[in-house]
Amino acid sequence: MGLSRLQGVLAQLYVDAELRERWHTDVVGLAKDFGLTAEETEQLAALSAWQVDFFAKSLKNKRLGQARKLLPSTAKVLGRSFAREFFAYAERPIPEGIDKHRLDTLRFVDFLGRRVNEGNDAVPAWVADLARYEAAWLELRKGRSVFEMRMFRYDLRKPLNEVGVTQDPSVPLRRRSMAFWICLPRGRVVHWLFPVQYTFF
Amino acid sequence: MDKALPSLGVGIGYREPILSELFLRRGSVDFLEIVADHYLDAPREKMKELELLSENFILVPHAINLSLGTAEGVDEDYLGKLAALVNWLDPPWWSEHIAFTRAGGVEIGHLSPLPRTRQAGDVFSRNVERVSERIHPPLILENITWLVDIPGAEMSEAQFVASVADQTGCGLLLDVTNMYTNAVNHGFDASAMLEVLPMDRVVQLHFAGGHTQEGVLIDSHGYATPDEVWDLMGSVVARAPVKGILLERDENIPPLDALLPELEQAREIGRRYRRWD
Repeated sequence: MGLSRLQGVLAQLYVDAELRERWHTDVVGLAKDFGLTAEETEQLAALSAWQVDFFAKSLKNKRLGQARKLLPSTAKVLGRSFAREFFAYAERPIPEGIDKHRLDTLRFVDFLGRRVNEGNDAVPAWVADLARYEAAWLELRKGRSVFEMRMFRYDLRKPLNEVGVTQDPSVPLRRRSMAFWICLPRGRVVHWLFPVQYTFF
Repeated sequence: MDKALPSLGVGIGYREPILSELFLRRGSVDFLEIVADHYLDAPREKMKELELLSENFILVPHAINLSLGTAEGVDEDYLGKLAALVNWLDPPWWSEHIAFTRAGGVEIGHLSPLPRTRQAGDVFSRNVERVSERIHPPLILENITWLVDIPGAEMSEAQFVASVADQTGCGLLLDVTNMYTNAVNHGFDASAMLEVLPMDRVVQLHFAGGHTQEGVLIDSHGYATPDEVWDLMGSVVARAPVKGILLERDENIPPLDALLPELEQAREIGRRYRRWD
């Protein structure tokens, strides 16, 4: 098999669950779609399904580990659901480039928000807010913005205070809150999080 | 490979949680390895951290996403940024893996094994040649762990690593934990690899401890180094002109003090074979 073509097929097999499923059930059809020769098809068929699946799973675990590091409070509050939700999200490949893990985590935060909007009970709405709050810090850490602002549906102050001492912080009040971040010289960040009292928000 | 590379001693992979402790225990750490990718397109604060480290420690950049084994060639944008970083740091050497991490426009997200064929060796050698035009300090190449055995192999893992080292003229960063991990997972004798690998090319070692998942040993860099890896390290240092031994710890990072005994054990192995004082 031409090395370039072999690597392309392998890369897709490792990251694409649908393609893997197709490979499991119809390797000949898949090979035809990729324009592989009979010899190349044999080589593709000779890959160990167990090894490929295990490697694919380990790639997702690696992404999960990075997301846990970047969203520590969200991970703590969601507990085992964090991994379950992340694996549901991680059916799509990791973004490309140097900054891939941060981008991957930011996309996961968007995914959590969509889960809430779809009415999925596994992710409490306030936890999606918490994830967006942590995502704002990730945006700042990249150093491309000096100012961030976020609106939340819940008052996140109490859970943020509690998450350091308990895995099960109390559900916050459903009261809109707002956060500002301003980057100052020498890496300092000024940050405010406060409930919004006014109806014009 | 440049025979005149300096002897660095024992180091640790730099991770943010150990920053302040490193300065308190500066005498216990001879050099640091930094993950180069963390400083590409990095914010100003991150670069200041790098400056601080470079003023106080010998730094060795370790790249993880150059994808030297990709048949389509290396990413010139990534190479340009990496070259700027490594040339600026001007380290005694820098390292990358014998692997590919992207192909056909797909980012795999981790180091993936190359088919162990002459064609893959040729591609790898060509890519190293291109990289050497841009990055001036010497490159050393690291062996990886592999889970997927790609059909059509023309040689063993050790033969492939030896062949790549020979073709590229690069030194080796021998990860003894990876050697042990592959030996356990694929049922061969790690020490037998030493009969095939070009030991005179070994410049640096990596070591760490992993964990077992579903019967597979994973190189998670999250646990204490097992006895088998220490034994293997001793066998390698006895035969190879090792210039540096480095502990990698990425998960369950304890206070630095808890890791110092492992550094001391590695230092003692180097001393036993007169690799340093």
